[in-house]
Amino acid sequence: MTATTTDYATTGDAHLQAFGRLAPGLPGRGIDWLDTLRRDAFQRFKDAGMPHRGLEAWKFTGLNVLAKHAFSPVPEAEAAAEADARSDFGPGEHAAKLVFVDGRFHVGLSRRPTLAKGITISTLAAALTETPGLMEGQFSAANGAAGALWDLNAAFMADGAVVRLDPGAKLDKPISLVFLSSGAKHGAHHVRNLVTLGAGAEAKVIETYGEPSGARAAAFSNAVTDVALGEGATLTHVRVQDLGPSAVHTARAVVKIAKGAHYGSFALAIGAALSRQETDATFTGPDGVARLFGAYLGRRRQHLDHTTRVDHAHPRCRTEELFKGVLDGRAHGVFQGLVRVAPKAIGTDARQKNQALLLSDRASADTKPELEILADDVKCTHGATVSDLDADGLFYLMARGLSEAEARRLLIAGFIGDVIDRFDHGAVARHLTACVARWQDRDEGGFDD
Amino acid sequence: MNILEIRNLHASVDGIEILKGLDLTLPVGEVHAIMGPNGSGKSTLAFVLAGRDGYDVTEGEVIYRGKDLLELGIDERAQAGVFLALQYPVEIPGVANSVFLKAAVNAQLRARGEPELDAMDFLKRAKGFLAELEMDQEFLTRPINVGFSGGEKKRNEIFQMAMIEPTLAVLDETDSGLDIDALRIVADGVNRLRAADRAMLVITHYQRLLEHIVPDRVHVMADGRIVRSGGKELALELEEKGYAALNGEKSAA
Repeated sequence: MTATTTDYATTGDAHLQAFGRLAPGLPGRGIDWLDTLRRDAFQRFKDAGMPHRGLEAWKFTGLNVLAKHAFSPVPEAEAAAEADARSDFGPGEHAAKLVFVDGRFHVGLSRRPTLAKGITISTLAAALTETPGLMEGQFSAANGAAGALWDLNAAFMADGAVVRLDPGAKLDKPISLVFLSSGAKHGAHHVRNLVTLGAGAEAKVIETYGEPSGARAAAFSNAVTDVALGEGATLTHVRVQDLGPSAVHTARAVVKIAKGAHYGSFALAIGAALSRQETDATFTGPDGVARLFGAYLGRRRQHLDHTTRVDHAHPRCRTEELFKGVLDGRAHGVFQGLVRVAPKAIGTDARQKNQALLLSDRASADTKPELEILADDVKCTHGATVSDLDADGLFYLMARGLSEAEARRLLIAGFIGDVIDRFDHGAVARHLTACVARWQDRDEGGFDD
Repeated sequence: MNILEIRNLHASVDGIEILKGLDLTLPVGEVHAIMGPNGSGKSTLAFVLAGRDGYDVTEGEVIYRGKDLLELGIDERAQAGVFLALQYPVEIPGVANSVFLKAAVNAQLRARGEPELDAMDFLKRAKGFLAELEMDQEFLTRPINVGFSGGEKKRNEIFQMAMIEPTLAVLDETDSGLDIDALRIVADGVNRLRAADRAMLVITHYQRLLEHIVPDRVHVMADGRIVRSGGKELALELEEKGYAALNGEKSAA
């Protein structure tokens, strides 16, 4: 066993101390560009420290919990080998399922059938060993103090999924990626996923972050998924955060959208004490589409943050954003959306909407839309509403015989169902709907902390 | 037997008295119309019967099948067989009509101690009524009233009523916003639901609905009271003379 986490005061300290000890064991050691990438990232993190509320991008979300407890990177030897894995994490139907426990690939829980030609599904550790040449230049890097967690991920990334579709390859069923935090107390893990679609390729990727039942893991998971879409490629990218009541989760999707490519994202947060899911999308050619959707359902003292940034650097790209939140108890929801339109990005169409439903007097919602428009001939809109459950709707349903509890449940499901409806009508929508129903069914006691 | 007996009903909204001593008796098997000008309190009566929050009964009583209706909550009234077709049906995005309606039908069956409908029975019944109301089956999967035209919303109300099989149906200006074809379809739907063990209260501003749904009795409402009652010919008289004349008669009396 290595040193216990209690030797350090904060998560930042624990990581600073651990780097020298763990770096030699991280995958890809000895690959020059990767060693440099990790070292630079670590140095930036060392200089900047953890993000704090003094930074504009973090003004609504404090990471005090990471300073209060020292979440420490889980060494490979301590990653739980056996996890009482709930089999219902992720969609029931999938083309392949990769399961990671405490940030490491778990062969036994995974399912990787032979897929059609042109589709590669692998792990970061394996890909860095087997095809390091293909990996160079695939990793995004942070810029600025607001991205310190991104740097932390780059320094410590130990494993993750690598999904690659050659030009024209198509996969109808989703690829399910499941990341479980075992019971290891105050463990930290940093997965890095790479999803690369060649020109005209089509895929669906569903990431699920969860805990084996009863784990109650006080764990810190800090994930980054790098997405690169070739010309005309289409990706449906779903991230479901369904962690237990003590978990801290930060995640970032860094997305490059080439000419005419279509990126559809749904980020759902229904668990964790604190979670922040970021999406950082850049159009690298004209005529691309980014549909960023999401929902957050919180109760007790949960803090759920969705932050998006879209860079319109090319003409005629379209961004559509819709995030809806349901907040009960003392839960706090945050939505931040930044859209930047560069001078040459004429014909940009960007719409952003955030709606929060407060079910209790003590729940709260913050929303911060930002538009930076430097081009002419663009259409950019944003809107935000915070409201109570619709009294007219409640009356209507009860006047048809539904009890108040049934009516409320249906209205909440409908409020979120509306975002799901607009995103998808197939298996992905059914999966998201089932996740929301699970939140509604859940014994609330677990989120009492 | 009377389905509904309203005696000296006073009700206020935001502290302003709207119903000012209303009396009405509705026997089983009958269809009564309530007519009256805007602001006479017709819709307030409908909401008071349904139990909507903010409609405060300050005096009087409402006896439904021999029991005090006002003691019951909104859902309990519905489960007991009271149905209100709204003048402005509510749009609820994200909830499919079928999900809502199945929950509603089963809530009522449960309350009556009857077995719930399974998905097959539900669908079979639903399809039958949809066809009668000339509604497309896709109504079932569409979110409740979202993007529906005025006529579609009203047809949806009658569709729900058909599925739920209430004992007392209150139709609040179901004819408003309907063209003549939609009016006929809706009226036919209502007429099919006329039954010996059911009673209906049809609230309308215009006589034209009553050409299609011929009432057993017509009541005229003004300033929060029933000021005249009569047979179906009373509606025609109103059509000719207008409400103003009626008010004149009343003040002269």
